[in-house]
Amino acid sequence: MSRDVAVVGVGYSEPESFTDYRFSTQSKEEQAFTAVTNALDHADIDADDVDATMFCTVDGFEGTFRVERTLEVLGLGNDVPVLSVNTGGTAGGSGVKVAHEYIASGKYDVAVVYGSPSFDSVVEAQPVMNTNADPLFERNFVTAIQMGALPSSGYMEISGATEEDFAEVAAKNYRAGARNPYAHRNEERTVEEILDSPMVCWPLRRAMTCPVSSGSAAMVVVSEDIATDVRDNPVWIDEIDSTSNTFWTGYRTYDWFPKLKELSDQVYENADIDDPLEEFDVAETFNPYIPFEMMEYEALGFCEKGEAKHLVRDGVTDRDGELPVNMSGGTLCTNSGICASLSRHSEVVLQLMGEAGDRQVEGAKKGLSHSWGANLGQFHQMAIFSTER
Amino acid sequence: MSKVAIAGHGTYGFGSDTNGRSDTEMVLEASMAALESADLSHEEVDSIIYTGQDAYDGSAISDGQRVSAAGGYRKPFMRIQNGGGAAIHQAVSKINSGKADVVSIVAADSVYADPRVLSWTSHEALYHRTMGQNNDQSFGLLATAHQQERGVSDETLAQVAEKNYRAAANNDVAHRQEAYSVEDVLEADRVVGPLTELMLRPNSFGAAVCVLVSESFAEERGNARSWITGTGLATGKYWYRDMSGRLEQPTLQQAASTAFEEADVTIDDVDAAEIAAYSPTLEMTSYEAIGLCAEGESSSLIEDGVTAPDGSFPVNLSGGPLATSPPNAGGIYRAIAASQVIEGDLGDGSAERVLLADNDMHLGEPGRTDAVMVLEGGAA
Amino acid sequence: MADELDPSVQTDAINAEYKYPFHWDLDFSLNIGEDNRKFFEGMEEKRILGKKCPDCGATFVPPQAVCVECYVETDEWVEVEQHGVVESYTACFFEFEGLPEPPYITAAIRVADSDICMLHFIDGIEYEDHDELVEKLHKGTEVEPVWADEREGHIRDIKHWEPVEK
Repeated sequence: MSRDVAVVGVGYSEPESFTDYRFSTQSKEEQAFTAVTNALDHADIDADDVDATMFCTVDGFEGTFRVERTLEVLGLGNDVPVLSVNTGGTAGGSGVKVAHEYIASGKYDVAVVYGSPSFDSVVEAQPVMNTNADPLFERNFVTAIQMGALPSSGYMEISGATEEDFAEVAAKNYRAGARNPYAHRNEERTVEEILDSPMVCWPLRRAMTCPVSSGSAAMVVVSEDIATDVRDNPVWIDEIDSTSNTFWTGYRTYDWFPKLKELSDQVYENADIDDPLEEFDVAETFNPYIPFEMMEYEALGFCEKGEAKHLVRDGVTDRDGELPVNMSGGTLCTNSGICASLSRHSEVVLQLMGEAGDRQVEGAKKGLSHSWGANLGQFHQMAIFSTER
Repeated sequence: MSKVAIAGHGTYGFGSDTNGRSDTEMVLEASMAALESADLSHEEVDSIIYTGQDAYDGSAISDGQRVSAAGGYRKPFMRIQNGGGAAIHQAVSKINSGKADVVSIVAADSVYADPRVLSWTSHEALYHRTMGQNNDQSFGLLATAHQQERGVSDETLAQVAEKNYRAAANNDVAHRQEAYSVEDVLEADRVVGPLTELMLRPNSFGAAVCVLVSESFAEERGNARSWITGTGLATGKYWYRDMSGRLEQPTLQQAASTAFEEADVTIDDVDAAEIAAYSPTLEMTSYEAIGLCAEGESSSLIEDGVTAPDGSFPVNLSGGPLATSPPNAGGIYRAIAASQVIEGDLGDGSAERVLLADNDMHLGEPGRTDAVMVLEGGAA
Repeated sequence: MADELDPSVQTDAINAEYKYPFHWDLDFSLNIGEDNRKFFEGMEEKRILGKKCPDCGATFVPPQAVCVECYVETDEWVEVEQHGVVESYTACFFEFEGLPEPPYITAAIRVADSDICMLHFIDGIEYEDHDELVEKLHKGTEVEPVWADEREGHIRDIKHWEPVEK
């Protein structure tokens, strides 16, 4: 009874809105309206035909609790139900998952997924992000940056990856971001410049961590009949899933992402993927702290555990490599809010539509997107997209 | 669309305090009870949906904190913030999409903060928060309009509250279990407009877990307690346009008509309802929105006791939100209560079909989301 | 667990050893966009501005960036008459930080011919109790703004609205 589900439209707020949150002037309504109408225009679908909207954010970051209740533009003028999805950094991916289930089940035919900028109204991001840590024990000791640094330093120990490797991955993302008009950071940076940037929290230097940005994304997800009706190049959702770790970080290993490995094994089994490096043409992974990208190569099966350094040194995941990863510039260069987890998906979709502009990887037919979120990466989420079903 | 079964449920509480229990302890207790009542092990749960909200939990991404106690470790864990009804609506689609056979829906309320202030932080910052807009003020604005436009008396409003308390007196998990009289309700402190403390919800603590399973799974295991045969969802506009339009509760109408259509029934086929009515005004106008009576006729249903616990169409045999209102877990609890009406554990056991109308109006009426479902008996 | 506690009882007065007080107080700085900026600029000059939908012609006070009925951006500014009609109101009997001493009256007021209402205070009505207030204030009561002497580009540059003297 399950139906095939496709993405037929992607829209972003204006390129200028992808900026340091302190430069942002646009209201949440304006950003939402621009992204949603751009996505609907791209999909050639009328606002009146939308059945439901998934609003994806972290409430605590918005400044207004359940802010979507005040944003009538998400109801698309017609009292469209607006589901409020909040699973931390993975919320955008969760929104795609909810939309997928509604459409696959036959309940709805057209859904809009909206990724909020989330951080666009903060004064200081670190104390805001810190409110997700355990109040009794962990909140006293960590902020978001330690969440990035702890697994990164552990990963260096077990894998032999070096600061230079991290800088190389970061430089690849900056080169990609320079081609993306919707990237907040869109200037190239060299390995030397990255290694010269200030150390924030070992081994993370400033240029290896994401900025705090405004800017939002929207995606239109539809049933099989509508997909083939509205465009020649719909992108099909082959598989989408997520998994969870414990909240308390004491249970965790601080050196890579074993839960993501479990998830990818399951997702690949369901989607009949034997060799991800070979079978995917593009991938977008969640890399707000650049060493994550290398841990993700391993957990996503692009190489064996501990071997990501060779993919980096051999340029396997660069533009002209076997599997270009994060050709948008990744979370490092684009947007760190909840928009970031949706744009990992929307960027793969644009690549498979052949509509990724200067960042296009020629002939991309199958792609992978990943998002990471909540306390020290408690949640992982993945989707596989394809030009064929 | 296939029907989905409520196979199990469990609660902890409800009351004005958690009795010293932590959120984790309450979630664990309610989850264990729900799994036991569904005759399931936690390994059999495919997916979890959490319905708590950051501000009520006092933490951003608070769903993460509930993963282990809710049985979500190494499983997909979703959060829908529009309340238990919306989470069930999503869970039904999750099951019908083939993504899961067993879904556990979980929430708890353990953190004390002033709910009126939390509601205020959910309102528009420039024009509404500056005027103190919050849940109670939004109920007051509607109550005034209701009284002026429909000539509803304070006594009728109090009667609505009284019949909820009469039902709650027979519900051993209700927060307010005292059978307050019409006089008690009228004499309670006035909060906003005509509404007194006893015409508005208490802030309840506790936990609720409800386990949904696919039709095939329920048939194989024989563990259906009730069936969800239709669901509907609608979100309303935030800005005030005209109050008469709001009194009609168009989103409740829309969600109910979708649910009826899907279940292939009309209101005449329904025997009772659990309605998340956060004030007597909202309960009365809900009768009209679901088609139980014509517009403006709800006063006579109250006068005649039609919706009282012993009436021909009992509404809120649980006591409703006026008796029990945990903001995170309320929707799940109302779904449990609706199932209990069918199971015969609430009311006289004669109801074969029950309407559940949930919403997230604990935060206020503007921008509300309504989730409606039709529950039926007939155990597998 | 059915005890009804008096609202004045503090939560840490009960089972105190099980309680862990914490405070969640974060600073935010909302981006208000061009529409609200311009509206507030008008408020400072004692002018009330509205924005119109190019399709259906509806006027929005306070301004809306988008007419959601037509799903298009509003584009034309108009200065509207300083006259309002009460759509509904309620008297609040509870104290709330930053707001007047209770009871105070909050109303949904339709300013000029706006499609949406503005929430604001109503004052200048003498009443002993709620029944008397209900006698004096109605849906349809006409009101006018009372401006603050010191204005800073804020919705409370209007102190409150009062019934129009007939």
